Amino acid sequence: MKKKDFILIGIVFLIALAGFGFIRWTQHDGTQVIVTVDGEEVYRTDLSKDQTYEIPVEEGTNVMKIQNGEVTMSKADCPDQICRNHAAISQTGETIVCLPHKAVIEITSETGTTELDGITQ
Amino acid sequence: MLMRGQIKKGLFMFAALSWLIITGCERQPESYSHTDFAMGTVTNITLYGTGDLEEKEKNIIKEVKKLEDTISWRIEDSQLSKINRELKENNGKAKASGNMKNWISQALQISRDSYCDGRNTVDPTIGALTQLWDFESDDPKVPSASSIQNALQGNLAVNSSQTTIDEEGTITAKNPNTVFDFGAYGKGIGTDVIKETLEKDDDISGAMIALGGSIYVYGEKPDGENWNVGIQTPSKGSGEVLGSISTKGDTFISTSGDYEKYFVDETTGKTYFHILDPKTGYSVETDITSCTIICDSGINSDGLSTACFAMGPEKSQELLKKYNASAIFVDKKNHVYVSGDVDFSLSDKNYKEVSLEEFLKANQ
Repeated sequence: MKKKDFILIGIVFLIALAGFGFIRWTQHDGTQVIVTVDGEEVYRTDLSKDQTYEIPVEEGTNVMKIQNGEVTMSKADCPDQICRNHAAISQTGETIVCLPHKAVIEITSETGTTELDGITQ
Repeated sequence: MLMRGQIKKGLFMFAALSWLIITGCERQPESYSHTDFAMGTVTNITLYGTGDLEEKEKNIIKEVKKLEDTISWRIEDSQLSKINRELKENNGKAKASGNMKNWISQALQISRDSYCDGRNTVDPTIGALTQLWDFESDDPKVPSASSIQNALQGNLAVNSSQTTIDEEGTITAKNPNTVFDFGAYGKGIGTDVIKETLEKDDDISGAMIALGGSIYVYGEKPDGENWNVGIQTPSKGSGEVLGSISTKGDTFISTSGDYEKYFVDETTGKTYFHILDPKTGYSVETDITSCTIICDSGINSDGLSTACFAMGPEKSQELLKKYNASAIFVDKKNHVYVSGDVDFSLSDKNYKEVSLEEFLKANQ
């Protein structure tokens, strides 16, 4: 075999590795926080980005807060306050729901293997 | 020269193949997950399979909303509201049609089987009482004692035992106070309806359906592993997970708890929750804070979770046996008792799994 053959093999392997790396990279691009109102996605962000976000609910106010990889509903004027009292979430598959305002905060990741498929409440 | 060309080709094929294998292995099976609202609760649906899963999920939600339009007493022109009006106007007689016949018949049967300590612990005919309290309203209040006594008239404690439905769907209610409310069964019926849809769709290989506290797991997960369903920790509003049930597909799981819908009366400071005792007219008095049922039917799992919540683990045994159901009871002192054949692992360190004897002793 000639040197060229090795170069060819090398190139093909590099492409393979790059493809592999690309898939890995896109899949592990941070854990995402998705906000929905009445089933429609209104906001999507990285769990790693500290921020507050006012959720556009029709009736009243809901504010989501992300800090140090934990998400809470920091403000809400719903009657039951269940969403505000909810413990901070940080794991893939966890949710905070404001039933009166139909707002949901969800943590997801493309590859994140969720330990739980569902939760009976 | 020819040899070298062949080797070259071979090597190229090998490299190309390895690229395909490496990247191909990383590809995830198709899945779609969505959170929505229907039947006055949160729905969470995950579908595995092929085809337009997003569209399929939308259709399932549509179906749940259609069911709500049929069985909700809140919707004025639902079939259930029509039945309630007919009962009132027609001296306790009304007619049910289609699936409603079966749902009423099954709900009544579960109710009669749930008789314990002088009352049926789950009952689809005590709408007069549940609508008086209306735990789902924006500002629920304790009704006046006289209005509660009014609602209990006609022996409401065992009302399903004096209500019948025949094969033609003719309902006969002895008590003029009879009002249907599917609150304790509705989400379970919803999972039963969705099961039929999933079974007709060959594109869907597995699914997790959660309608509030009622869950149905269908088929297989892409990795072939068991489904894992968490149970919420009962402490009010924490949203943490008590532990998880590992199960094969085609299993229904429902939970009833005193933390789901409740309010605190401002004047007395007393907490009231949505599971009502048709004998007293007030929230059920029990040591239990949460009861989860695992079985092979949605309506059974939903109905039994309310009944067993009120009955406690000892008195529930016969009922659980009759419906071939397993149960997980949690008391207010953080004990967990698992009844029947269920693979449950406790993860919340504040709770302790105990035997039936220990559970009963702790709550004497």
